[in-house]
Amino acid sequence: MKPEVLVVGAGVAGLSAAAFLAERRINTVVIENGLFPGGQTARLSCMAVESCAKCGACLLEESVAGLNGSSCSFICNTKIKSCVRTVDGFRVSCKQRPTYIDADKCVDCGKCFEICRSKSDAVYRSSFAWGVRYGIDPYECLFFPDSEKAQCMELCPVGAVDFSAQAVKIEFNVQAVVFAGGYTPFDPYLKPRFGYNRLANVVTSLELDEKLRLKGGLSREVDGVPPKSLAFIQCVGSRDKSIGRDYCSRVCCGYAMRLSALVRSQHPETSITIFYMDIQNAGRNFQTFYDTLKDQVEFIHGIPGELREGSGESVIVPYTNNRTGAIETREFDMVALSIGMGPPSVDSISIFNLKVGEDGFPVGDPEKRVFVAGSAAGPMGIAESRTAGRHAAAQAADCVVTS
Amino acid sequence: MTANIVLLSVGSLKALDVEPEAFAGSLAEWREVDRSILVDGWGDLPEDPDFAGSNLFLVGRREPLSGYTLQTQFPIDVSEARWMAGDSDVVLKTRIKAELKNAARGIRPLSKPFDPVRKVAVYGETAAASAMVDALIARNIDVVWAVPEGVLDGYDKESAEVVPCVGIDSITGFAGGFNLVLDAMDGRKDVSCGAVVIASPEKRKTDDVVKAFPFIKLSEFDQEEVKSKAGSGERFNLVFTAGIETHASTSNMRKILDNAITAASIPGVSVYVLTPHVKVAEEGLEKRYGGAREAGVIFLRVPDGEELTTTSKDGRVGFRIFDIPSRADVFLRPDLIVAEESMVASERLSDWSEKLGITLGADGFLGPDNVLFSPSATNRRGIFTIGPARGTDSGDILGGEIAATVDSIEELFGTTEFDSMVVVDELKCAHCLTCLRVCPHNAILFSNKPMFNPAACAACGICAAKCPARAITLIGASENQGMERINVLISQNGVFNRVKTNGEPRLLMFGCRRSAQTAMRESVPDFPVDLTFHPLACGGAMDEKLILNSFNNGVDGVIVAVCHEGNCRTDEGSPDAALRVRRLKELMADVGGQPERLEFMTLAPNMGVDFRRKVKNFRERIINLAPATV
Repeated sequence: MKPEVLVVGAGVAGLSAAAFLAERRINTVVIENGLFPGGQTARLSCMAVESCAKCGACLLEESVAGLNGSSCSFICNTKIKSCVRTVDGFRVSCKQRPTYIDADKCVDCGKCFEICRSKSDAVYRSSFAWGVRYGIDPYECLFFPDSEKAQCMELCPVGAVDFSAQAVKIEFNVQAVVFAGGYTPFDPYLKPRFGYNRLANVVTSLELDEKLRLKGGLSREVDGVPPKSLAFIQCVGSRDKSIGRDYCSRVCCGYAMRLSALVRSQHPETSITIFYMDIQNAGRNFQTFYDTLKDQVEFIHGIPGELREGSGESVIVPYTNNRTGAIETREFDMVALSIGMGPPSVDSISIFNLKVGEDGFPVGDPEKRVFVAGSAAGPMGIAESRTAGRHAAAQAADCVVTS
Repeated sequence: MTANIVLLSVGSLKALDVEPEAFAGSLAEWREVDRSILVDGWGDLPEDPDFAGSNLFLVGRREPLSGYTLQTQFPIDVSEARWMAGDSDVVLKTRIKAELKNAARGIRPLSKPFDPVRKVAVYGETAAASAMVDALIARNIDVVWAVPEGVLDGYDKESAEVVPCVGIDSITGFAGGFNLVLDAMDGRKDVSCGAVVIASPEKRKTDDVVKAFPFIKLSEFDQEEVKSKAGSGERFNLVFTAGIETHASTSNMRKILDNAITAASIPGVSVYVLTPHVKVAEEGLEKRYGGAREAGVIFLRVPDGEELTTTSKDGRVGFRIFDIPSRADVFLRPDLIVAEESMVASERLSDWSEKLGITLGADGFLGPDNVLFSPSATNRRGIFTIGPARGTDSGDILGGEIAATVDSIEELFGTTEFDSMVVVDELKCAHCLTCLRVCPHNAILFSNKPMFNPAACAACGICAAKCPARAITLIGASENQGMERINVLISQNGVFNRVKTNGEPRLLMFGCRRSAQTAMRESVPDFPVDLTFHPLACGGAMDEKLILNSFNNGVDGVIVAVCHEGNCRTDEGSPDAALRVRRLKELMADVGGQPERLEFMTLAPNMGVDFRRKVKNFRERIINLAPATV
């Protein structure tokens, strides 16, 4: 197979682009830096309470299912080193890090994962029953590179665990590039007043979501019980000129609201407060959604000040009462920071020589056959990323000259 | 030249009183047939190197199990084989002949050639319609532009054929071959097209509260007018309202911010924006909001959820609003209000929904509210709704809808064949028209018999489940086969045969392939359970008879697991299954059974943890139940 299009990133946008190209029988190579396909979406829960909440998290499974068995090649755990323009396209050079578990031999028995889980978390498993499912993080492993002591190696019935695996260099030519490198979640350390990592029960919205997805519910680290009160702080790393981000991340209001509804359904006794600047619309039927949620969730206009620790690891949140101007405080068992979406790393943008727009997100160059899709191009939700991915793929497909 | 090999099931032929050897012999004499082989059953198929690369024709009662992945009885790739059954040797021979012809013409098994009319009808006089026409023409797609009311300002596109009209009468036919009937000025007008895009009508309303003041609509804002009115020397209060009764749209917010910035530069004018939420969720809007504040525009927050009412002060009417920065009530007397116009659903859309068979979203706009669908798709393939018809009032989203529509149309027009998903047994069909009535996708044409259009069919299986004569089968899901398969699986102690003790309840799950099966794969239960999984093409294909039969065959509990409401690939399948399970439970209660043994659940494909929890709860409930008596 001679590759024709390179898709960078295997999140929703990249996978949708790949699915589109596979339908058109265009030879596509998808390079993913992460261990598994899925990107940020793979961490997210389904937000359905009684009916579908239109979050789009299931679209990832949809696009993965669409690619299963297609001719598209997937290379995960791989970093693109360079992408050089040639006469008729690009010369791509990448480095694939070893996973130390041979996917060709693996029979998906899960023994290595289970034995490792009881000791450390070195063996990781993809949530997809497809493609590469297992790998070993050598930095987490208690024995690496000493294969003598590794129990996973002993337990593996097919001898798929191999500590001697080496990084592989991969090089190929393509005619067009779809850059779907995704967004960078805002680093909450850059806003120290919200106490991320300083306070035990301040988490990011993504971390909260991941807990819901993996554990099926929320619990505080300190006592293992669900929080009785939970606050969302909106616009952490968005609409903030002081850190050079004077743009709205567009998805966080809908995200926090859907998360609130989901938490309420799982823990009806948990009271939820959302601190906001302006509530942004989230999709069709927003009015109905907002009106319903307002009965269940308290909305407070204004972003809080410096968070402090309260009794029993609770979080004290000071905020200004808009009416009186007085500083009031509220105590919450848990606080979730609605972190904004930032552009992909400067590194990845420079590899493809992409120009950036005023908010720092890369812009495609159809003339040069480079297209940008998904949240790499600017903050967007999952369903929009899919549309954008397919559209970028359609444009890339037009450039391809089949020999 | 590809070889044609016919495989004949001995048992099936004998059941029809057909002598297998003689039948095979007569087929072998046909010029088109290279080999005809007798087999005892599909499970006993001989391994033959010739099979790969040949056209395989399977003749027998049982159809191949295409798509079933958990347990395949069939040693060859059934998606490339042609299967046919019949009631007599004559019928069989006719069908084999037809399939041989299809193979010679290169038509894939169980598929129909698709030759669309490569022309798109765009309906609407709106900006969205115009942008849609431009985008299609840019891709060299022929366009018929149906323009209601016949009004078209500044139209200069030569490439589109323009049809003035007043409305849509009907859309008959299927994707690739629609007949759009327009109510034209001079009677009805037929347009033959392969796809239809509806981008109209646009209906907007302004909030009632502005009517107490001199006001103009946002779309009619004119800077010159403000200049002439403001010239009287007194301070002129220009007030923009947004999101008072319903949330403002980003596209309106953009217009408001732009106009407010311009107006703020007019001497003697104070510009206010009255809104509960400044909508900035679109590219560049936050910067524009900053720009407006720098230009001196004052933003006054209407407290969220509170009604904006007028009050009088010193004999003059105005608004009393709490100003957050100064923490005081301000009395604002607007000299002119520029009122936001929010998009509302036209009554026409609900009328069309019925006439055209297109699902209405909860908000009254045309098109299902389903995140799995492409942003402009409807339940009828080939019919798209965008912009005002869909309730979209944001430039970003409209751009996405137009791009997705062009992509979908190109994909549709690039398709050369569609797989048939449904088989009708003409001898069983009672011509009751039930299938025609229940099909949510308008995929059936009835002329002597139901004819399923594969381009429109979404394979939800609702028709098959509801056919009173049981004449319809979804490919790969026939009734007998289902029961046989279930029995085999039950006898193997389930898919997750963790426990083989007598005390473990036998659970059977009928699950949607898209949601429940994926969720199951993502999360193998970490507790002992004897669970058998039977995949359904869609929740709509759930068969009550199979459920009751399973109880008869010693299953202790049955779970029907489908997609969440509003998250069904075929849109109607999952709610239909919910309704039918509810009825079945009532029936079980009526006849003295234990309806608790039947469970309905909805799952998302990415929530393995939900799958695990719900199955666990159900298993515990079954263990605690008294033994079944019926």
